[in-house]
Amino acid sequence: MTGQFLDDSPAHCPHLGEVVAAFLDGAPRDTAPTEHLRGCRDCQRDLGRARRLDALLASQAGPGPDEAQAERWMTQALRAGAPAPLPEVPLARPGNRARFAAAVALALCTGIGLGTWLEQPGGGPTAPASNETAAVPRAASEHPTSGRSPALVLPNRTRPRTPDTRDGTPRRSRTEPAPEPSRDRVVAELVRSRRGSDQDLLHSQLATAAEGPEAEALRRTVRECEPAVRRLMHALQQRPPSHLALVAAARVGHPKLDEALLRLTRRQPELIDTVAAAMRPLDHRPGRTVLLLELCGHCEPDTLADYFRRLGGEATAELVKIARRTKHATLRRRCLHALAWRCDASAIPFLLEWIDCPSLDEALAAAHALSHLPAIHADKLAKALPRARRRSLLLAALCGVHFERAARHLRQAELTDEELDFLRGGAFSPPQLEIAARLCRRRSTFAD
Amino acid sequence: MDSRGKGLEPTPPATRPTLPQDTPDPELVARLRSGDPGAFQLLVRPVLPSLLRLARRLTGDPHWADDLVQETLVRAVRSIASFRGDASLRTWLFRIQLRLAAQPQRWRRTDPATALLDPPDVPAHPPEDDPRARELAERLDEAMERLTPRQRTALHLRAVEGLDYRAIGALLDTTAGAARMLVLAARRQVMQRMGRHLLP
Repeated sequence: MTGQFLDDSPAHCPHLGEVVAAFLDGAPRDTAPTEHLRGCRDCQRDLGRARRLDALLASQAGPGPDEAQAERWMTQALRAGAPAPLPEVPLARPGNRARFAAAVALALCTGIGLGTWLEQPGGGPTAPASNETAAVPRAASEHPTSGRSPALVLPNRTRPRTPDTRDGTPRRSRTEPAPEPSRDRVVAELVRSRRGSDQDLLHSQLATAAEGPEAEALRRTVRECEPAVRRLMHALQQRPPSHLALVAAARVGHPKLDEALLRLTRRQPELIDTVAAAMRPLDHRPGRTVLLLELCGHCEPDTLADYFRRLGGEATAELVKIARRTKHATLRRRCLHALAWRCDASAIPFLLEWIDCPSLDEALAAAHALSHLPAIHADKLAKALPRARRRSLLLAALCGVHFERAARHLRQAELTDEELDFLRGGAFSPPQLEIAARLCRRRSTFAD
Repeated sequence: MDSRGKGLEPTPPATRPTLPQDTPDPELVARLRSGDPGAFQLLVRPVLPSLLRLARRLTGDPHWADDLVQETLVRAVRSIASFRGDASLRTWLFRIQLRLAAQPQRWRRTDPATALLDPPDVPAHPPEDDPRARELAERLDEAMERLTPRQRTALHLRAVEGLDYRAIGALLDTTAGAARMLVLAARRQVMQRMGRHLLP
């Protein structure tokens, strides 16, 4: 690290972050940061600002609880949390007494069970088999799973259906590869066919047939058929990929294909529209909402607005679910933007809750989504106003929904005509909503 | 030149908040685990200011912060047997609090007290305060609220509670290096948003 001296220090020192961090973390291990700091005006100023920030944060954290509050917390916690003394964590290995007791209990159980069995008619190891019991091994030997112990096989009448068979045709288990049912023979033929025109036939079948039960069955079969998925993956890797392959892959709804589509659209954002359009007519396409949200990251924010608007009614619940579950703030913000595009009233409780979340950006996005609701929902927003933590944001959203309903809260605001016109205009973009919230912020009264 | 060499000294440890009993007495811990209320009072009470400070930062509202601290303590009492005593009690309580903070429906019992952006009804800062200090505090609040939850928590734990990066990483389920990067990024963003307000 070379020292930058005061006279010739650049406007933005390249070592700014590291040097400041080294000093804020304690004594630097080597002398290089000290040497650098001695001559760099940028780093000196930045270090001073960082220390002021830390001091501000510490001072703003506020005092601790007063004695009465602390006492109340402790008492309530002890009362609510521990009605009885807590047991010790059991030891990993049982003691000798516990082992002895367990052995005695086991021996007793074995003895009683053996005695009961010997007392039964026909019981015991050398007793001749009755007609009924003799039939069991015979039935078992006829059974295709005759390798089992005969004593474990029940008569057919009472035996529960096994996953293997009832009518002679093997059943699917989760670990077995998907079979090719007769009803999807056409698909099976398409999948088995070699590359070339037949491959295009499979892709064109997927691409052209979007609606109807047959098309859905075709997509489901392809989704469960690994060779077909591999073939589509291969088609997507062609440079450039064919339009048919792109549409077909977008419609199938397989996680691997979705990943491949994301990789592709990251490189070629001009394909996003094709992928989104291909999914639009489908009613049930697994992972569609998630894929659309991911695609939002590769294009301008409003590019996919129309696609989100046209998603089915269940998409709102799915977006809310994703927003609640995800740990990624970016994905959560995309969900909130998507909810703004959808203008769906079923998201109101979630958005009202989210407007009070600790992140201001997410609260702004939630308020923006609320501000696009139809005017008929203004009452719900107005009722939530007195209980909201960020009332100015909610009031700004209410201005967007129904200005007259919000106007009573701005009675004493002394806003200029220009400012009122701005609030009355509604249809706020996110930056405009922030301005509207600032207008509502200091000059409003919330007394009804 | 007078300004040269100024501010070269590293942040002294004395400016960090004092840590109440980061390595508790094993005998006290044993009493705590056996459900002794006296030990609970003795060990947990000094940590309450830290819990309240973090709760205020996590919730942004004093009423909700109270709710969160209360629920944290209840959960702590219920699961005190799982506290082994080889880590700091404060860190263990922070972990409970951070997990609870992500599920507000489990602890929110009261309405919010103040709106950080809306001072007219219940001002967040007393009116007799210096207006410049109030504006500074509001700007800092806003800048902190614009951080991601992880960045906000990491910066608070570092700047206010003085935790080391290893502890912060453990609390945020990440490495010490990643925790350091979180703190650096958070500090940089807040400084950018505060702009000239941080100049002396």
